[in-house]
Amino acid sequence: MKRKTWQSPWSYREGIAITAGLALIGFSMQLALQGRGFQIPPWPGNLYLTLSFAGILALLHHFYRGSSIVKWFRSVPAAVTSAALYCGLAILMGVIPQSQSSSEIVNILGLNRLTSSWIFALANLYFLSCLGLATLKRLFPFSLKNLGYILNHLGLWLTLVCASLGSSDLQRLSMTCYEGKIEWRAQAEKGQLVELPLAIELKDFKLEEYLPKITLIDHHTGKIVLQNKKSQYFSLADAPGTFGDYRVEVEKYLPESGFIGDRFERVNELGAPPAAQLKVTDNRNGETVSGWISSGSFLQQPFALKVDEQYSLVMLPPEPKKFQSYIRVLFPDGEQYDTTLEVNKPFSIHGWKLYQLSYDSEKGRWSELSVIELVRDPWLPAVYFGVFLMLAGTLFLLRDGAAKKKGVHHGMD
Amino acid sequence: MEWINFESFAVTSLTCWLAAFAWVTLKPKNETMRRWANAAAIAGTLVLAAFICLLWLRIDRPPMRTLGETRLWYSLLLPAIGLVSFWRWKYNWLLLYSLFMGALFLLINLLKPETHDKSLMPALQSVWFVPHVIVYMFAYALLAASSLAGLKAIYMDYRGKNWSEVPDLADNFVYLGFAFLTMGLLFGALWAKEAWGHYWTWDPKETWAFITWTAYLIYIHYRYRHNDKHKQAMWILVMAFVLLLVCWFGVNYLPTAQNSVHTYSS
Repeated sequence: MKRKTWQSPWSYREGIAITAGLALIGFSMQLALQGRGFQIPPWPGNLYLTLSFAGILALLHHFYRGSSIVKWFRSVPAAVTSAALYCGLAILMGVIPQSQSSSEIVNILGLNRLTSSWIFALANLYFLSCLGLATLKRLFPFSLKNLGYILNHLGLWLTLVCASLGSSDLQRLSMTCYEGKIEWRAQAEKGQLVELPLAIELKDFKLEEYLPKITLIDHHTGKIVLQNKKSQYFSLADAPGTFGDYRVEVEKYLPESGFIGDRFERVNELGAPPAAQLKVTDNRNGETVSGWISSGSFLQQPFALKVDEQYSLVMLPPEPKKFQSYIRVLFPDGEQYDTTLEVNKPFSIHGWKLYQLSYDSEKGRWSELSVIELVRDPWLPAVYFGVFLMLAGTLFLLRDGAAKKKGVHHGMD
Repeated sequence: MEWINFESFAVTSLTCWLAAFAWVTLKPKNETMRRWANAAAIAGTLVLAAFICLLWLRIDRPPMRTLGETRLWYSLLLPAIGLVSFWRWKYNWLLLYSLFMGALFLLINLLKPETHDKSLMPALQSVWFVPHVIVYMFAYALLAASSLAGLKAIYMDYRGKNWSEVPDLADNFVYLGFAFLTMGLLFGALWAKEAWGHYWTWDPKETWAFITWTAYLIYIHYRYRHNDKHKQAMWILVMAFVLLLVCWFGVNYLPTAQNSVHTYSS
């Protein structure tokens, strides 16, 4: 006999209806509140919210595990439809730029701030309820054969719950430090100034660069000549070598130079750009040109080398290889730490993590300032705990995937 | 020092693969031919592996920065997976498809050459760089194999042939691929925390990685319950791979990509 919609046991039809209902409620809330999204309360509100959510799921599992609604929440149709809602919202997020939109509808429905919209909050609630109840079923009573399942599901649940509810406690501040000065104020994401319980003294900022690249331009059009795409640029690190139709040799290289009279000389001053004396041979006719080339800097003009009637070689500004801030972190009670910050090498201190963010890019290696990011995320250990559970869980997926034939198909209610 | 000649390596690999392809297609039952095909496929794959090693040494950084460089890894790993399944499950067609896909990606690199320069931006200078990319490429190659299985099943169904074995094979690939996909995603999150200050910022590449991940999650759960509804499952598999391709290449063309921190080639 054909089952009617909403007649137990529910399946995909009901799942789709619930998903559509949640979307409708989410958009209505968004409209009713005129675009104000869902706000997660800060500590300790978010902790209470987490505990109550987990508590409600545990109570449901304990007292109503046999009820058809609870059964449905941990069923595959619920898992599939809630994951599909998540996936659909993420696709919207992946297509619509997440910034102020010119479309009023997009702004009001929160499609440009999806992660803080009502519909996203409801999708989270639906997904995490399904996931939570399914996890509880396998967790109590515990059995070792469910270990892979538990690691994957509990890990995901913990990660998502702690990452989303903990996001209101995340602080990301950026502090602009000047060489030789002490700074204790930083800017929050919306631009407001925050005074910190710690200060940073920037002792020195250093930037290392790769050897500069050169490229060939047509000096009538000013455009880069695409000899063939593989060799659009030529790094001086590869000299002597062939670049398109030319053989390039470096006769002299000056990392810091100044133009004096008709040539470049090594100088040691602010804004002194790299320069190279090149010998360029046209492989087609054997003609040779020799001359200087320089990338210029914020203080000096660039200098091109004319190789024939049509083309010139120009030097590109060198790309940064590594930049570092030598800093001292100071606390009011006199505690202090000296350290070096570098991209990918943050420094942790008293719950803060300090990152090398940026510098004065116009001045490049002569930058006298360094922008340091300070991040505080008290929920991180809980999120990482979930992440490590999932990483352990992937080993079980590998085991299942490598099995020659998947054995018994477990019944899943 | 001059550049390593990519063209000759690529053409050698392609020729070997083509030979393997031809042997398997023309004489699928002949044991000697199978052995020759096997040897040719291995040779082609090893030549490509040698090129990647030389390139790595030559540019002094992992060749994993640009899309073209990731395609090289894919061209290496997919035929390798095809070969392993050829030995393990004796699936001729899978070896053929994976050789074809590997060759296709290699051909794209031949037709669209790019500069493999030495510079590596500071954000990529991390111990996470290699594991993150390798694990992802492994996942992509395995999931491509699963989608090939899906397409094969859909085609066989259309032709009215028996394809009852195919979905189980697809499952093997999806489970392996999904495990690597999860690792890649999580390694990426752990790395992002060290490099950018937060483990998840819904950057467009992250968003699409999440979309891809949920799509395979849906497939796994759907199959778990509905072992009999193969056909829908095979379609989910094909769609999931389309989303994966958007994540890998398509993101750069989307309006959201302008503010992505995940673009490493001009």
